[in-house]
Amino acid sequence: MKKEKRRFMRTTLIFILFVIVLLALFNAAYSWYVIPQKNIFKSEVQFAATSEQNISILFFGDSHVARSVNPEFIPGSFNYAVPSEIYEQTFFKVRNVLEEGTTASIFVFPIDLHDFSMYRSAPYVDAWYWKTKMSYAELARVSNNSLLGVAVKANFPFFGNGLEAWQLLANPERTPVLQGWQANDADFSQKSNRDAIGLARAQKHFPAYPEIFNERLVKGFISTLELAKAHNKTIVFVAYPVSAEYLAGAQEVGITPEAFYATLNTLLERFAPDAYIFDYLTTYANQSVLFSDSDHLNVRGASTFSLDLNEDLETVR
Amino acid sequence: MLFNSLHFLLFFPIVVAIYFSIKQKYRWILLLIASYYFYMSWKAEYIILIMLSTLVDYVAGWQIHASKSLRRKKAFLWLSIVTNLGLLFAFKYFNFFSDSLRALLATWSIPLSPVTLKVLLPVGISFYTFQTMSYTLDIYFGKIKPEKHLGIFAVYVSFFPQLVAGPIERARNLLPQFYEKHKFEYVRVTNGLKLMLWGFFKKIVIADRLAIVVNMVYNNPTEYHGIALLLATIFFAYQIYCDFSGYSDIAIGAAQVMGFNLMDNFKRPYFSGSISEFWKRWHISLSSWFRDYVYIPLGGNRVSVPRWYFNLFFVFLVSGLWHGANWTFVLWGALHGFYLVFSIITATPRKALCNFLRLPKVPWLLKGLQIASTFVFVNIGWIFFRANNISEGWYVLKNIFVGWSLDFSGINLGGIGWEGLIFSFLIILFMEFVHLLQEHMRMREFLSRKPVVLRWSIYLLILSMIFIFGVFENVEFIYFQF
Repeated sequence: MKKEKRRFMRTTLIFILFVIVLLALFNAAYSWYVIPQKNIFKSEVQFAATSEQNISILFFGDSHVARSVNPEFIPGSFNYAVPSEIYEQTFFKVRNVLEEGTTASIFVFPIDLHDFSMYRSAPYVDAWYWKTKMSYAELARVSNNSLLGVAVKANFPFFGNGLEAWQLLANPERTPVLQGWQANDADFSQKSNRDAIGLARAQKHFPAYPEIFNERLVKGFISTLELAKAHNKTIVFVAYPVSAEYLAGAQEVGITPEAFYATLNTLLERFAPDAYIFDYLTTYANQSVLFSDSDHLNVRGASTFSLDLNEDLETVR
Repeated sequence: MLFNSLHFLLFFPIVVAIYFSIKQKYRWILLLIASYYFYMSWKAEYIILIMLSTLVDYVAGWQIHASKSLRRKKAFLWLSIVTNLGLLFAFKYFNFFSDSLRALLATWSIPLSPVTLKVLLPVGISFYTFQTMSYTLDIYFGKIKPEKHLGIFAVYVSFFPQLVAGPIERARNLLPQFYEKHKFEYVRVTNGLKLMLWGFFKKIVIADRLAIVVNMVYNNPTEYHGIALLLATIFFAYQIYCDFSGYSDIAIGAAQVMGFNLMDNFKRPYFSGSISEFWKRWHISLSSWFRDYVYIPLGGNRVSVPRWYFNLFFVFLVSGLWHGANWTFVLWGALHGFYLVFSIITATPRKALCNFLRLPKVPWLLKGLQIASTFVFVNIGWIFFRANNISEGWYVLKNIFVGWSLDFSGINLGGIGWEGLIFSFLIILFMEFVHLLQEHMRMREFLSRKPVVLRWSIYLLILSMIFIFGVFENVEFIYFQF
């Protein structure tokens, strides 16, 4: 039996060595070739390169922001939004930016209908990215994972991401990133089933209706605002544009902008006197040619919107 | 604790290492502690249910065996059955029957305020209650003698590899194995590990990957039609197979590492040429349980023809209900019962048609047609098994061949893209290729005769596939809910 055990131990050790080599190879390949293709990485690299210049306006948020704000039209700004970002994550990003001593004095946050709805089942998929914004303990806590689990996820990003790597390597330039802005040139007006797409998106965004103000996200939102305020940053809220089809879908699901903003206003009471609010929710709703899908602007829409937003921001500057 | 979790990857080697380091007489203690810990890491208080089941069946087993009068034997058998089915009813079916009764009375305008129990369904309750019931039933039928050692009986009820999703083991197979001295045997241990690896591959790479499309479509079926519904249904067929047989492979492999032989639970079911063959290849431990403890006691096929048909139909109806407290599962069971009865009734004309078409002269074509038609019928059943309710299942069935086009944009909504679809088909083909080989040879024995470089390359390839294409979000096994 001892001989068998020794044989097993020896074989297992050699096998594990091979596995370690494989893991290292996959990890290196993923880190060198795949991660640089990811928009979240491109945005971070661009931010690192531009933060040495004088950035006065920083945009935070999710894909609504990432696809809508073209900094080319808003001098001194950077679009630091990441698709699928939730307010809990925004808090850590803001904290990180403040710790690094940002020159930006204006922080722009989204107040979209879905921003407080917990519809993302796995918001910390890019743990390799989030570990740069928070500690492992924080990452484990907020992602409801073990410390060992997040350490593995954060340091072995290739785990389970083969399909994503395939997609990224097959289409490296599908959504170019410029100063954090993700340029998408699809045209929603060309879609024949716009109503169905709008409804599907709304259903996705509000799975827990009537609970659209998730406690965890509201807490992240308030903490983010308090942090920004404590550092004397000027806070700007923007309701980003969505299509009429999305609004109709939201209405069908049970969400009305009036009811949503009435609730939100009570949350914002503390911050409202010093904050600016720009509402573009319905501004381009009937111009589907400006959208890439039901709730994201395309390149043309981003240009139109960013020009308009820049004019509004003049009052803040 | 999920098999596909870091927790288990630490737990299992520790248990195995201790298991082979201690004396045989203490191993049951280790297995009992490990099994209870395994279960309690999910919801600690529910271990009381397992303990209750264990104690009642231990006592009932002895009383059935020791009693001279048939009445007393029956009384203790009923004690065991009522306790186990009572637990199952209270935790799994009470709310279902309460809601159904309320809905039924409401159709006659009789108002009834629903009484619901706010309890979480204990993981694996259908499995361990059936396993422990088979023990008292076997003693009652005189097939086995009761277990003397309460501790070892407790391990039999709670043995961690197969505790929460089977295979549902019989006492006469598993209990004696706890008395055997299992030596550390290199070949057996590595064979067990290889089976576990294959199980992880099926679960993490295939089942959880296909689940993305299946969940997207079946959670909102009315948004889809045609090819999207067909694709999601076929993917679900493979998802549920890989999920459940993957679990069984890990369970059987884990037990094998420690020296235990658990029964086979799956034998490449989608190669079945008929529905009856399908049930000899799918969830074998449950099918044989129903055969031995429901079908045969009802008279099996040694009764009048109508009664035989009723027996078959009834067994599948109950089997459907066993799977879940929802009318969709009952319908699924009824559908399979109907398939079986229908296949018996139509056996002669179908054979005549085959002969007329001279199909027996082209055996590969006949077999292919049989496999394809069985797969279609099984998939119709899966539609109701997966649907959230009967009306959604009916919608899928009605719209699966409506509005066909090769526009996959609906599927792309899930973010898996063309690459994801291609990959899904490739892994299904890969698995079925392996299954095809398994139909003709025992893979592990075949591989063991190959050079080490080839063998290790294959193991490393499968491991790499798990690392790279696996879904690591600790997705629960489907059968946990049953």
